[in-house]
Amino acid sequence: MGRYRVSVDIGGTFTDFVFYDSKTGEYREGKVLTTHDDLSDAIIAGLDMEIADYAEIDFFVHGTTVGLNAFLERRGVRVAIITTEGFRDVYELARGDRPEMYDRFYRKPVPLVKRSDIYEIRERILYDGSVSTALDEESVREAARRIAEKGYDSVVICLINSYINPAHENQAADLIRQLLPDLQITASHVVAREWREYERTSTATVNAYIAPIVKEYLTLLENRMEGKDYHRAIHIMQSNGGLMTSGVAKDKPIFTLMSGPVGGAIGKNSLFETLGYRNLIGIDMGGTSFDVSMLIDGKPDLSTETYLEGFPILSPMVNVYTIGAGGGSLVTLEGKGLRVGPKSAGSNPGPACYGNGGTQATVTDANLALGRIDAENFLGGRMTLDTAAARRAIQAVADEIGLDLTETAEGICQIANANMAGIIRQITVRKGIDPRDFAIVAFGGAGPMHAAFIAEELGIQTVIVPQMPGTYSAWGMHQCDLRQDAVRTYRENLENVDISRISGLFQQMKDEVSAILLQQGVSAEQIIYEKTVDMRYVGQDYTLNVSFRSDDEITAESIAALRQAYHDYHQQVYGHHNPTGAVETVNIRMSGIGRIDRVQKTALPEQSGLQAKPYKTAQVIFSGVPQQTGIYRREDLRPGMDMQGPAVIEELSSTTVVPPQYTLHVDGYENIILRKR
Amino acid sequence: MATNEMKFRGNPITTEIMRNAFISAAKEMNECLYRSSYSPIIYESKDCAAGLFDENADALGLSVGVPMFLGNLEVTIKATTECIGGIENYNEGDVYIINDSYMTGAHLNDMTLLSPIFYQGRLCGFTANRAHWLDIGSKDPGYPLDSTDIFQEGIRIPPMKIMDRGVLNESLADMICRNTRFYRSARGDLNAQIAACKTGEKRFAEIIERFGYDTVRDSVHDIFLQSEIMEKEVVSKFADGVYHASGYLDNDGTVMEPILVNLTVTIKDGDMTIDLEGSSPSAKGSTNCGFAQTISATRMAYKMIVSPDAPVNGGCFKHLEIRAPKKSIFTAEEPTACAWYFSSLGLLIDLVPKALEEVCPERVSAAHYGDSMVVYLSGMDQRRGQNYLYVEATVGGWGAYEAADGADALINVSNGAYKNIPVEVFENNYPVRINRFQLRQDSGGAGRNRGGLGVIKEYEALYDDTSLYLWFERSVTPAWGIKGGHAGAKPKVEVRDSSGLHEMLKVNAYPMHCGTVATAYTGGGGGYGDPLSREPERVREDYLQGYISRQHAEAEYGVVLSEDGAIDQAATARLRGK
Repeated sequence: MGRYRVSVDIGGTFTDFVFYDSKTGEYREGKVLTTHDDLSDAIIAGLDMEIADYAEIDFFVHGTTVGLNAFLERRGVRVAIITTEGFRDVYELARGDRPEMYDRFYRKPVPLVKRSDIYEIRERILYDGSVSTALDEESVREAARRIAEKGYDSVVICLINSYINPAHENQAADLIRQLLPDLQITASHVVAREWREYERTSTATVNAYIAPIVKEYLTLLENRMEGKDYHRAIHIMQSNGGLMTSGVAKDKPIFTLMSGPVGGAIGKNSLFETLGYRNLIGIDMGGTSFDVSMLIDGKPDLSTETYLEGFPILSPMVNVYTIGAGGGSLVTLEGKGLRVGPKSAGSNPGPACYGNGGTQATVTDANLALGRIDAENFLGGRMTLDTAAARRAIQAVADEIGLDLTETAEGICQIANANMAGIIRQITVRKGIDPRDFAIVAFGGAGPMHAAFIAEELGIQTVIVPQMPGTYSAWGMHQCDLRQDAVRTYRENLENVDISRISGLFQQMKDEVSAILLQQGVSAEQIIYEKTVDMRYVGQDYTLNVSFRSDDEITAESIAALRQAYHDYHQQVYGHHNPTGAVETVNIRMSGIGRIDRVQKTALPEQSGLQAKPYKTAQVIFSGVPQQTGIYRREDLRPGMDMQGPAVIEELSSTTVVPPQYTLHVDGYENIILRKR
Repeated sequence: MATNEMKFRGNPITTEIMRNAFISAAKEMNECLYRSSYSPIIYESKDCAAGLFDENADALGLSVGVPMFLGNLEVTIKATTECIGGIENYNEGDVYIINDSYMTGAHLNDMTLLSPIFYQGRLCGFTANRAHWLDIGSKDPGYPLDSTDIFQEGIRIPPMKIMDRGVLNESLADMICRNTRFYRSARGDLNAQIAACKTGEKRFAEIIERFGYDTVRDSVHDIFLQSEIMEKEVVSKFADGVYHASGYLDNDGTVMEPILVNLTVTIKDGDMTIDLEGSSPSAKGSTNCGFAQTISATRMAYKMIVSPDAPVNGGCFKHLEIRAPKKSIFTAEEPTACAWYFSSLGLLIDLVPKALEEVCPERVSAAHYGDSMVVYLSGMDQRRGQNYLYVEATVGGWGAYEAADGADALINVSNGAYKNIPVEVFENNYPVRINRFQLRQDSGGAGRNRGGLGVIKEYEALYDDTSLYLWFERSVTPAWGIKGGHAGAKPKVEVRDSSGLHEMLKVNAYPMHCGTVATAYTGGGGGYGDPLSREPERVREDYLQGYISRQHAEAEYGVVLSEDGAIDQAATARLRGK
């Protein structure tokens, strides 16, 4: 056994580290500036600061944004698409909707692949998987010739109805592989074996677009770690909340797309495991973003489909809802009315107080003007803020709306908090859950600053600020298992489900999933399987994902139980159900979880009677009144301590604001627990 | 009519918090509808709208799934109040149902549910929603293409209490649903709409509870005033004057004569009047709508020019006056047919920017392909032994504008967030195969900026006894260009069967047999500016991407290209007369 377990999360500004040292039994955090030219430089630099001998590292996990950034910044490789004759335009036509319905200038997202880079081949499979036109290999060769001529890095093969019968996709892929061995190939059914040709093409295309870049990066990182005497697996965080090794990630980078942000979402698992919170809303607020994620009834909130920059992606992802602009939300006037966001000051020029030339007020400026942020101690003293500039910007707004500076600053925060709460409410309502049954977990630089106010809006009683909130995503990665998902579209009325056929499909997926997991070094006994089904009433389109109760054999009884579970779930989400309604399956899914031994946090004894001492006091404004407020250092808070708001807790990468009507308690895991008095 | 008192009353912070809360509540209501309805036309096409209203039926927050539902809910609430003899006749817990075309403005399929909201015994607002029901018992499934009076179009419901003081009127619900061909789907949609009403009620009560009724009134006043100021700021910059535009629908589906939409826009001191005088009298067929829907569509045309991003509330449209001649296609009265009420409205929405092309060139575009281009398929799915009815609106090209080419293949203006059905889902659900679905080359109107392309979609029947219904429009006035741009291609539909090749645009229950192929071509958008001034490089790129042919490049743009896309500079200069 080595001494360390390490997680690394690369962000836009900082690369975060969380180290577990088995010798001391402690977790420690680290932060270095992200090195954009070669991201692995920051990883090595951060590791070197803590660890002399890499052979002492037992477990290494990494959240990478290489793929996501290549996609967002349109820096992907040149991709060709091969598709069925007659369907060249599937990718460009998309679904034809105009979500901005009053905008006569609305446009679809610009495709990652031009029309002239899309090639048709002759073949056709029908809805039931039968072959209507056999694959014309000559047409594939012709496409290959043109692809070779024009020079691409990556190719997508997405054929109509391949989700039900992938034979032609496989045949075409084999042929292309023979003819053009250097080309990265993405067959659509391999990344997303679900119906809907546009969504599948889009998913496969994003994969193809980033694959060579992710591969190059991971190979570089493997080599550097290898060179420093680290010979174990490099684990990569997946969008689905599980891990995969770098070897597997190279082929299916689409699964690592949201690698960075999901760490924080998954960190909540351990709060469930240690403190028993089954329902948690995570709010991660940074300088320019505000992300919400959820743990519902002990499980991370997952979607089987998401949109990124307007492109659909069919792959299970932990939901991270990016809503609004966080601290950078701009304050503007419209029809003489006050607006906060959705426009953002971004990171450049950023809020007025950054002193980068921004003059418009933002939420961060308002917090600063209220004394809730310490100008001298922003980001643990890494940055000094210009309070005068913030006040000037807020005063300009105040003059327009006829309030004083303090009222305006506090009002800006109130509007921002109410907006954030409103959107959280919409998300929960959509799922048929009541936010009042949840506790908030606040992390990121500014999450703990706003959390109590947002909780108040939502009628939530408890706010948890975990240890190391500024590196919480990295911390979350310590809590993950390996995971692999598979899917098949199987549309059938539940009455008519063919038990041997559905069992066969599940077995097929189980084999597929276990092969990939075993290849990553877990043993068969460590793998847990979960079978779920996307279901709906006949005539509906949206589906609900319902779990089979166990991994047992499928029987008439387990199908009956599944039907009941569906009715119950429908009742919960929509407020009504139809007990006599016909129910059908749409997709069936298999998840394999490969358990990894983890080090569970242990609780420290809580000592009573300890009093935290503020290192200074300051005037902070709450409800319009300046109040003498203790400013504390997080490291001075010990398990068992209690205090009353108002208070401000500062630490390296975050600030917690405790409003006057709240109490604060430090638990044995060194979490801060805020409760309404 | 402007707000009398142009002064804010409430606290700007509270007002902004409340403004967002109302918008959020309307979104929750619509979310509730999308997610729990049974008809794909609601949850897929989002053919629905939901809103919260104050006691005067002015909108506080509105969430629309299809853009044309802007204002018909408030008119329906007012009509209901009048019908039941005044506001004092509402009771707490009542929910009303209504679909009468002459009161709601729309066709009978659009079912409106509304309920009064009481707080501490006092009526303080309304919640309402509207959703398109798949079938309402008209003479043909869905809604008929050739109806000539309202009685052929299905069950017609005046304002009735579907819930009386919180108790469901089971026999009324049963009676309504028994008058549709799809009982279960109707029942599901009815439940969804009642649930959406309840969501709105609850959220409104929470807002009043939190802020107090008087504060709510002050802030509502201010929210409306903000909207009014925003719109006034824009229209005040438009030059005063009287502007005209007109265009034709092909026909009303029964009488094969064009239908005129004529409008006059008058701008004076930031006020806009849109007068539809001169438009065709009520049609024999069903291209008529009640005035409530005319108001909605005209507001939409105004909004798309003046304030496309702003949420809608009771402060909007204060400086817009709408007039329409009596007994015209825009002011239907009993017993006029109304099933295809939206075709003339889509044209109206296109014509307003045409009238204003010189007034605010940066805010307008050339015409788009114009109508929903509806394909119905119905019959017996022999694979499953079930009857089916499939309804689809088809995408087409949008108009070019000052800054860019028109968008290719988007849904028409009246359908908003409608998504086309994936080929793979379609083929699984219906016994028909799609042979191709692609962009229609050369269909975009030429211009300095090119109009967007229409599409080609080909359906092949796999079994006998399939019926084809079509409603394709705008071949008489295809998408016109502006500022010297050319018109986009007209729509056409070809049906090839054992009897030969037939062209048709509107048809009722045309029999398709196994192997019959119907190919729909939708129109392109109009161009913007002189095509001869389009940079040859951009013409070349369009050719390389296959958006236009070489012949089209030469004939329309005066750009001569070799097969591999090289520009023949000399020949191009000659053609362009330089």
